Amino acid sequence: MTEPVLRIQGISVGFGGNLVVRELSLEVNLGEIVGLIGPNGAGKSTTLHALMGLVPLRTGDVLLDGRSLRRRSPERIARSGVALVPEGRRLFGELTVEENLRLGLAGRRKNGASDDDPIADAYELFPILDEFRSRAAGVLSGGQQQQLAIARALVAEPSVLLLDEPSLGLAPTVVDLVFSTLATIRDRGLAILLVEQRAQRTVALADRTHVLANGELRLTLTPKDAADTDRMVAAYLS
Amino acid sequence: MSVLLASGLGDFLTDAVDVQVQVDAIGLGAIFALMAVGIGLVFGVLRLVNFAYGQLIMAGAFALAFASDKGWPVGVGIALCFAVVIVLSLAMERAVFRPLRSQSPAVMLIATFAVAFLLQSIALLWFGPLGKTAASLAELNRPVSIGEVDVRKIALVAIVTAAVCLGLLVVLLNRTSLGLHMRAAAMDFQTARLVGVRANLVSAAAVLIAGVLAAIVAVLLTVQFPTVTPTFALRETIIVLAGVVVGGMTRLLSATLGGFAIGYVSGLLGGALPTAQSQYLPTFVFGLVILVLLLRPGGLFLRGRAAVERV
Amino acid sequence: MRAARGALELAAPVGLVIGAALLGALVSRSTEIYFINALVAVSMVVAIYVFVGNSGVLSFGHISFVAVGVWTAGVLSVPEQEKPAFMPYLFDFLRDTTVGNVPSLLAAGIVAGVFALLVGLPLMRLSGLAAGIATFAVLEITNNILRYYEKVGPGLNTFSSVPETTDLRQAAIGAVAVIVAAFAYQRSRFGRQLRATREDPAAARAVGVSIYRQRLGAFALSGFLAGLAGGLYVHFLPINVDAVYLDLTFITLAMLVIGGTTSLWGAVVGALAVSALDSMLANAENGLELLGRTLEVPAGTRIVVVSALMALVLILRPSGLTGGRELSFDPLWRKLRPL
Repeated sequence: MTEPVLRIQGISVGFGGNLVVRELSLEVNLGEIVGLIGPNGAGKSTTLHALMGLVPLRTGDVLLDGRSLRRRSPERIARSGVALVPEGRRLFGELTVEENLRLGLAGRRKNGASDDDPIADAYELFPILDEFRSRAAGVLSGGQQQQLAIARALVAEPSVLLLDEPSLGLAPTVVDLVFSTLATIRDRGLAILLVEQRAQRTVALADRTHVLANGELRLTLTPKDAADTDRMVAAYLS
Repeated sequence: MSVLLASGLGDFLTDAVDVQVQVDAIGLGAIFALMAVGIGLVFGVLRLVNFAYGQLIMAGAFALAFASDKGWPVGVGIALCFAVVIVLSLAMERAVFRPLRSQSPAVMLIATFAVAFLLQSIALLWFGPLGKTAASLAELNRPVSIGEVDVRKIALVAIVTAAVCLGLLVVLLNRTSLGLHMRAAAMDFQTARLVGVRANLVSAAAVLIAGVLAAIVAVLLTVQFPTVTPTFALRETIIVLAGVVVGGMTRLLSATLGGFAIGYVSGLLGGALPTAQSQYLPTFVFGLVILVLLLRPGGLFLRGRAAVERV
Repeated sequence: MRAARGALELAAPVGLVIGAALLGALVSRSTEIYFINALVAVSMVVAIYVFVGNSGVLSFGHISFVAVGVWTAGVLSVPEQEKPAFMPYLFDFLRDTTVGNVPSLLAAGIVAGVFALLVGLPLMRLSGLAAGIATFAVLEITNNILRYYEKVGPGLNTFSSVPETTDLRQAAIGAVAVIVAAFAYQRSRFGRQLRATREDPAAARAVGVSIYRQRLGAFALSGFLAGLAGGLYVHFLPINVDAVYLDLTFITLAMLVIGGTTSLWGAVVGALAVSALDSMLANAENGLELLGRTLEVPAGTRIVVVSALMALVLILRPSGLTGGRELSFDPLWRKLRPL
């Protein structure tokens, strides 16, 4: 069994007296999508923020390829090969599409620099971005912006891709597109941790999906549970 | 009464249109524009208003005076000026700006105010209230004749220098990776970090560029005002700061225009107002500032949302 | 319990001031001056605190109200025959009017208060950075006008022949009066509403508090108190226009910040502590006796030390020496309760 590229070991995250995430452990391997679903306030986004070093860990550790990410600054974690597609996309609306992508290059690992042109790759994967290359990112539609946000993360050639509710505010057809792109990315060998509200589609897509409630992992589902998802989750959480 | 007013206005306008006055005013505007860029850049990236910016200029000017005193060649003096200002800028960034990054704007404002006074008082201790004179650059303050008009060389040098600096800066910001990172950091610092932009590097770069600009301004101002005192440039910083807020703090272009505008207006009023009224120049300028803050709190040159809160 | 806490909140700063005054009565004449200076500083800093501490809005312009107070009290209390010596261009009614000590102080407060009210009418709509810049502009304008408009005062000349009525007793009474006013204000409904806007503007607005009106009220009151402090000041030392400008702005702000911007206790502690430090350094500048040898501390070291201290406090402990809180029994109660 190979070592998972991302190992989250018993992390707890909290503000003030409350723990939002309680001793959470999970792993992600290369070439797989792991889903993380759960009700609002369950701690899903906080988990991703903690992985990126935006909030401190009260307990536990995060290992990337066996090396600890604890106490590293967000930019250092980004440059270690972990890329986050933030909730709400957080694009630089006044910069052009091309500039947003170029910005993503900041996260590239020095030793991992290949001869490929990651930006050209991104345009290949998301042709619509090529069309809008010189336009300001703010004029793109919601779905196009989501593609840009993912592309920006990919340009850094990460080994781990974190996504925070990418389907938020998107029409179902667009969600289909985004999710099928994620499958393609998975097949290229990336490790993907997908935080989502749309439980059923996530369970159908991901290799395995964990259900988070009150900061703790409660249940693990696989694609064969997809049809039954809502019923199973509700039953477990009631 | 109205005849008096009309003739006064007439005099003012004739004086104002004079080429010499115009060039001088544009020259002052150019210098203030450079200062505005220095202040605006640091504000954009670090979200910090550096009250002590004028003190950097003062330090550079003292370096020039020091070199002049020792009889060193002008080039060495200028090099020393740059060295002193850059070292001081980076020291300020490390010791004051970085620890204060998480504080409210009010705290940062008072902190830089304290640093300004600290540096001013150190200069007072070191050089005394009468200051030092930098005589070696006086050559540039002499007039040169263009056609029938006498224009001071320094005004032209200031305008050209400012144009070149601003041009280089635009190239840096729009064509280089560092410039891209700085612009992104100014828009959304946290997300910039998330994509891998190095916070400390970008901050240091902004401070460094602002420092270089301060050194340039130090040279330009010292030519016009060779006697450097501890309060050198504190006044100008306040005026430029007012200009930047008036122009629109959140965007570099509007901040620069604001700085230029207030420099130009000051120069114009200073050159064209009769001496009796020119005593009240600060009242006019600052009165204008308050007016703009009340009517267009977001800034004169800024379209869209106001950066400044109103209740 | 609440009454006791309130009593301590007032008693502590007043007690400290009275203690300082008593101490000042025991020392030599030449040292007494430092104590009077410290007490006048308390008045100024508490006046500034009334606005800045309660509203959370930074004002760089309060010394302009002190200046107006200085001008009012000074011009009105110089004996008639002395006025033309250094104020030859005064308006007639100013030249012909001379009042006593207390009326001059009251006039100083009232004129400054009205000035503050007029200035505040447009300015109180601003917050944050804009408020800082705008109040700074007020300082500059006031300084500019007082400097050159010789019909209202000495212009560039120094005030002389002003009756030196601010002795230790007057300075102490003045300081206590300002503290009591500040206490009464912050305990009042208006003060509490203003503090609410500082903590959570949205919530305050939701319960119907008019941020503008509350700030205006505090601004005018603090202007009145600052003017009063200015009156005390001009009756103490010969003042000129530069003495109520940037340096005084800086040092009073430093006192407030170092003591703790958000509490009355902080304002008083800061004023006295920094004054004490400043006086010791001033003494040292006259030659410091250390281990038998005289140490020459150069003039101007005081501001270096105070500004360095201010920067350090802001970086390391932004809430100031007192933590921005009033002196309270609570820590003591907590220790005693298990008994």
